Amino acid sequence: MGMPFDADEVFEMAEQIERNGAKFYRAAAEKFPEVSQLLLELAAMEDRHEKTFAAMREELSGTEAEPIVFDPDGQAQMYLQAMADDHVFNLKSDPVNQLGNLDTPDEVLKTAMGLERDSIAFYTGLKESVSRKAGKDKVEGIIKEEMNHIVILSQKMEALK
Amino acid sequence: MSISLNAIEVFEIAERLERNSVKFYRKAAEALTDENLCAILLSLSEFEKGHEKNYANMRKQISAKEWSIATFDPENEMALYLQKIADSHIFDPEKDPAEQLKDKGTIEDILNFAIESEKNSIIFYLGLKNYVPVPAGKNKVDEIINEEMSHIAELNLRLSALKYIERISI
Repeated sequence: MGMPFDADEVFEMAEQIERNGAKFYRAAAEKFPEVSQLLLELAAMEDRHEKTFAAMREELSGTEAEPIVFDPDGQAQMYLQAMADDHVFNLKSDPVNQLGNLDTPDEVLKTAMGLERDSIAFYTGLKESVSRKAGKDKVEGIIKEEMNHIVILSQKMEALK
Repeated sequence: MSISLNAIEVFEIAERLERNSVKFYRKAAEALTDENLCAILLSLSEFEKGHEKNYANMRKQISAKEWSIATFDPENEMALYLQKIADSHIFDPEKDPAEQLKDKGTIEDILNFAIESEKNSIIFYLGLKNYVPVPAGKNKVDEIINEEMSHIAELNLRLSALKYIERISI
């Protein structure tokens, strides 16, 4: 099976996920002032993640001597391909469109948790295909932060009850 | 904030998630007429059965050596994360997925639901991994996570094939 992605494309997808996340949080903050402070903080964190992925991509594009992606069986690639497919994790759709169906802060927080879950699932595959030298630790750090976002969103949801 | 979840309970939830998946894949296979797809779902159910056994073994080791959460997660970060997931803010491990099959009218619904369940397992096991010392099988958890990722790839291939057939049939 051919390799559908190179490292550059995978990191571009990660950046897109972060851009989508930040856009969703900012639009949601406007619609739901009750939770806007938290949502804007999360948007700022996603901006930071996007920058980290962009910096990693730039660094990787300059290194050709050593393999930056280690995936001999193509398993991680197949997984990332699946996650990037429209029906699993639609990167092309504007997450702001989802806001139209959300009427309460509770619903927006639940949707946000779903987006965070999908990011974690994607980055777990990304981490598997990135060598330690290419920044595995940074991806791990971002996964931990996304996990923390789930905790923060969940706590806010409980506080609203 | 108090954390009520202990390490043993974390593994019990993981075992329950795996049992739920086994049940779901078997029931889904029974409901389908496509032999090829049935075989895939039954093979996935076997994987999940193996995972359940692995988690049960890890739980026993952790219990025997009296490893506590505090040893591996002094700030309680992962405990809180797992607690929130278990509190069913994202998914409810108590819910019988085989029961949820009743609402799934098409093969596409079944595959989509299976993909969502696999994603839920992955994010739970990522947290759980932090509780497992290397001798108790930390690498085994990584293997299980990798297998769940390959299940998503497999399910997605089937979904793509279905969509392709739909497209060319129009």
